[in-house]
Amino acid sequence: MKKVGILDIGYGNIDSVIGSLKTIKVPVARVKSPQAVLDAEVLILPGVGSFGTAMELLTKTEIAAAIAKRHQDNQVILGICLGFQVMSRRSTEAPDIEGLGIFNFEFERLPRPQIGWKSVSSKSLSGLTLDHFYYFNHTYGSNASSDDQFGVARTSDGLLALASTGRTMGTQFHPEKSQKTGKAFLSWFLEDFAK
Amino acid sequence: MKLTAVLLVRNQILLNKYNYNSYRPIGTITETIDRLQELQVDEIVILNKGHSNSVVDDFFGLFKDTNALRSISTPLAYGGGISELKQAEKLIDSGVERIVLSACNVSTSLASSVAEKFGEQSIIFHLPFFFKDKELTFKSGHREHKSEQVTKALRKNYGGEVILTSIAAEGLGEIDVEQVGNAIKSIPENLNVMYSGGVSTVSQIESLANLELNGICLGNILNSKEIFIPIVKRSCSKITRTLNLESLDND
Repeated sequence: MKKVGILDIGYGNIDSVIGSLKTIKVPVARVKSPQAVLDAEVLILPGVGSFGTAMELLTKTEIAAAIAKRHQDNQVILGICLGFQVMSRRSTEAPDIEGLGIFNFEFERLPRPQIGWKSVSSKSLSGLTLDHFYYFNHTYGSNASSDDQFGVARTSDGLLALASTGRTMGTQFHPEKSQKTGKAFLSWFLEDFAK
Repeated sequence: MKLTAVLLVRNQILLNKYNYNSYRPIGTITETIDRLQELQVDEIVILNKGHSNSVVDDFFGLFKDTNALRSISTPLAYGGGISELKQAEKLIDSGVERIVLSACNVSTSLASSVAEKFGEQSIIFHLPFFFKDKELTFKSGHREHKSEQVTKALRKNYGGEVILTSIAAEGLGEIDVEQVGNAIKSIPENLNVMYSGGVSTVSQIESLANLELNGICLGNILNSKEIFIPIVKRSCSKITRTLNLESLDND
């Protein structure tokens, strides 16, 4: 299985993602520099924190540009929760700060945080069975309409649960906290999507 | 609606609770977490009832090493002894999804700084409640707070969810659903609400499920009847995540 680099620049629940990958026997290393971001076989952007703080860190460390180049070069990226949101154009959480812009939609504050398990369905992703429940924990979300350039999956209430473009994917849910279904998702991502 | 297991610990020992303030030790925590995960509990909340200055460090002592903590694949929340942002940072960096703060922290700089750094969804406010002369009152430790004060503070958006614990029902198994409903009405709409206290039967859960709840917490019942989780998941339609029998059989 491909070696995974987990972005470690001071935000995110890095240890949980590492722990989850280790239980499915995936070799994993922390990446902290633009060059390491470019060199990783698979890059995971973890997901706990605030949009503005994360983007400031990504910009200051010049890792934002490395992630954008990685996407342009068609290298595999997975963003989880906040790691997904920073790949959008922007979020109302920090409206003056631009996101990475890999996904051409925005995130907005939800009426109340979404905390719990939801089923996810998709008509546009092949090879992935998303008929189980995944754990969500977020205050900002997107209900962007489907776009031909994206594969998307949604929760039953219409919010984006997942989007992909090229070899870049973002999940609003936390696979590392979704028990066996989350591990199955990570295995699918690494064995099929990242192939 | 989710099913949340609440585990009480003190000095790295798992506790059983009876009445509101009385505990007895029942063992260690790691095997309990493993079994709860196998039974597909939706979330685990660990509340540390210790009183020392190193309560948060004691939490890490519950686990043999960092691998044991970070390999927990169920959403994990922790509460007890958190007084500084750096403690919250250490917990969340180590694999804790959310932290639990008491009623007296609803509008403190601690809550605002954690919300700013990790998002308001990373905070649960634990609000034990009772009715004093028919007035809803919240409690943290021995301090009492009028519901109006707490409600006003909750509107500051420093948290994502509250746990309403009925002090009257805690450890006794008798729940006044109407009182729970009245307590829920005091919580602003920007917050999700979980209920805890005395839940021990499917019929209680079905009654509570008619209220505006995002989750129900199970405590003592899990010490004697862990299989209660799949029983509820199979019989209560309001529980969002149904039982994955294939996954259960494989364990």
